[in-house]
Amino acid sequence: MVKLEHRKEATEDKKITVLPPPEKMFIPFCQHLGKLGLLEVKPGDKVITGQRIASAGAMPSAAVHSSVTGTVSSIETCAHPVLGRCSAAVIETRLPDSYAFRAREARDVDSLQPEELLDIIRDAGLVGMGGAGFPSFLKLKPPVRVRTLIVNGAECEPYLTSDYRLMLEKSDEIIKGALLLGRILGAEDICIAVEDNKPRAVELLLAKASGPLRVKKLRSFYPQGGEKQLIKSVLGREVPRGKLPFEAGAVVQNVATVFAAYEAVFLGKPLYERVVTVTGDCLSNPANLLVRTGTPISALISFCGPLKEEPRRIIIGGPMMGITQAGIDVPVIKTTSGVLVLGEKSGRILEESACIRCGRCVRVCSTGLLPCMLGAAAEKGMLEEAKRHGLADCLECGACAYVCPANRRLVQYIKKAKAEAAR
Amino acid sequence: MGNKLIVTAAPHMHAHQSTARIMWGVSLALLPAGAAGVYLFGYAALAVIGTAVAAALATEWLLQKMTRRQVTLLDGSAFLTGLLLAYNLPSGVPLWMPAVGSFFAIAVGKQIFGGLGQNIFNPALAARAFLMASWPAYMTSFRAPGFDAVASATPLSALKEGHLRQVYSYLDLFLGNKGGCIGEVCVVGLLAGAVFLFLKGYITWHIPVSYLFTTGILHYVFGPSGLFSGDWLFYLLSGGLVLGAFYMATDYVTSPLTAQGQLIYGTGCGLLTAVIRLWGGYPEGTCYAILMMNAVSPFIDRYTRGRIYGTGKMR
Repeated sequence: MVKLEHRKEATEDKKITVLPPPEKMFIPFCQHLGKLGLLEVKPGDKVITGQRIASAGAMPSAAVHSSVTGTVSSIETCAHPVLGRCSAAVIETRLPDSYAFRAREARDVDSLQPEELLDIIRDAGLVGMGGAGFPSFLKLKPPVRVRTLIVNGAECEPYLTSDYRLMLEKSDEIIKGALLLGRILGAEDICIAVEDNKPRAVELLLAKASGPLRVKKLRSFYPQGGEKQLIKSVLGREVPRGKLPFEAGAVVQNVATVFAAYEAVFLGKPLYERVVTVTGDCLSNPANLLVRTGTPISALISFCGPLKEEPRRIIIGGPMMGITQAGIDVPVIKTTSGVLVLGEKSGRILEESACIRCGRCVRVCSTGLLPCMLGAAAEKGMLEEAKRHGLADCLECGACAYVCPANRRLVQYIKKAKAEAAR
Repeated sequence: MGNKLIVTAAPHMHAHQSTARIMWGVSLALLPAGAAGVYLFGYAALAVIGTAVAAALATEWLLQKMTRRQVTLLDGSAFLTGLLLAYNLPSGVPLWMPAVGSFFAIAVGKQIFGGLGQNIFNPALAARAFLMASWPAYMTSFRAPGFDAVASATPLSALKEGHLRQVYSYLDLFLGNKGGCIGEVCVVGLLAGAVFLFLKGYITWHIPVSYLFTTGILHYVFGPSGLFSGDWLFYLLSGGLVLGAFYMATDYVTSPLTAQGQLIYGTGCGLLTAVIRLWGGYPEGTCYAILMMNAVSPFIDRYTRGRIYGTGKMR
């Protein structure tokens, strides 16, 4: 556990602004953790906003929808923020177009059975929007009944404010969504967990919470918003080693996912747009944007420009667990919570030196590992030794590498060793 | 902009901390005690410090050049080793001794093991033990404070030989008005530096507190006139204990990683120091106590790994 500079000042007071879609969209068929969806369009097809363009493939998988109205000009392999490359539908939008999704007529949500609600959520292509992108409907039907639904509003990554803005501007919808997911799970206890560096969101939600719903203010530290840490902070118990959260009696869903569930069920709207924090010291107008999936990040960057200096590092996600990008042609997908554009000062590479066994990594590891020893074994490819040091337990949160005075690339070594161990 | 973007694994943010910053920070914390040593023992002390530091840097440079590795003099670790060795020497030693000692510290104590972070024993203490074994006469002839260079015993050696210790008031012991090694005599200077180390987060309380507490208790319990009659404060303020507890036992490389391990290690240091002082052949035991605990430090690490999330009982 480590205290980080929050660096949220630039965007925390910026209202969510709609980013108009550009003329060309690149919508990857995989925007989730799992297998590629099954294509349902071909070049030349006309699509409308919200139309499904890929259905869920072999599990785990999720459906993908078009975020615009237009024509599929081609299906090609395009840049992908997480996978590097991925098959995507290139859609040319018809401008001007009826951007707005036409909400279906209000349906009687209360009369729907949990199974019907789950179907709606599956068909809407919902995935965990906090970063990992695990298909939501799979997570919402655990093999045993859970008592608690935790709505993750911790947002412990520095810079990011998309969840915070959503909690401020869409609190009623989030509460309705949380009750809805609680009903699907049969949960008696629904807890919205928010870090104490977001007092306005805590107050607002507290004022509106009632019934089985409660709001828990958490201390601000990293990685408070990690699923396992969050369960420990909220319930005072841990997920048994190597098991899934439901075995600790809880399911965790990010606030953005909960909001998407509200939209899917109450408005019939599939997941094709999300709030993205666009910030960093290179941008003169950082913002929280409502962005359609498939929009290249170049459109986000130019919307928040002009650039103050030449970017050195462009990160999708937060600075602790996000992924650096080699170009600006990558599209926003369902899991893109932020785009950070960092310049010379915050983006430079620090030189690595020898481990001095100072123990800082040990003190910050929320999993209780010895990251310096694990990292050393991983670096040398000593997989058995690394496994003894808890290779599989590491969350890759990066707290150890953050505090390391020798700038050891601990997470990099550990990731590599995990990949080797999986072979 | 595409071709100039940096692509690395996460995290992409870093605390403002570096090995060099820590090493130079510890060196800075040692400044008051060293300045007091020079004030008390004169320019001879300054010459010993200068020689030890210069020899440590020269050895580090030479060996890194010879083995074609990156020269890392600026990380401050060799400087700190030289400084700590000098602090552990009497002011009157001939200047070839700090030079030989620093060479031993860097070459045998550190680089042979693979350089920074790899050594088992604290290099400065290994060198001190080496000098003590090789030239014990030089290592045990102390001068009284002041420029008149009168030969003197340390408070601990006077006590060991059965002399009365009343010549030293607690205040003398605290300020450094006593015979001893250059950097160990001025307790107030060492404590001032230690406060700085705590505030900067360079050391934690576990090792020094468990070390001093254990030594103090044992000296109190096993007093000269029966149980619970010991002058524990005299012992805490004498010899190299304060220097050892805050600056040598806390050496990252040679001490355990976890808080639990550090408590065991500090207690072990305290136990051995008191045992050597009370019943051993030497008047002072800090150096050997820490070296012995260095040797068991990897063993302590092995048995004090933290509880991994999701296993065992939550505290």
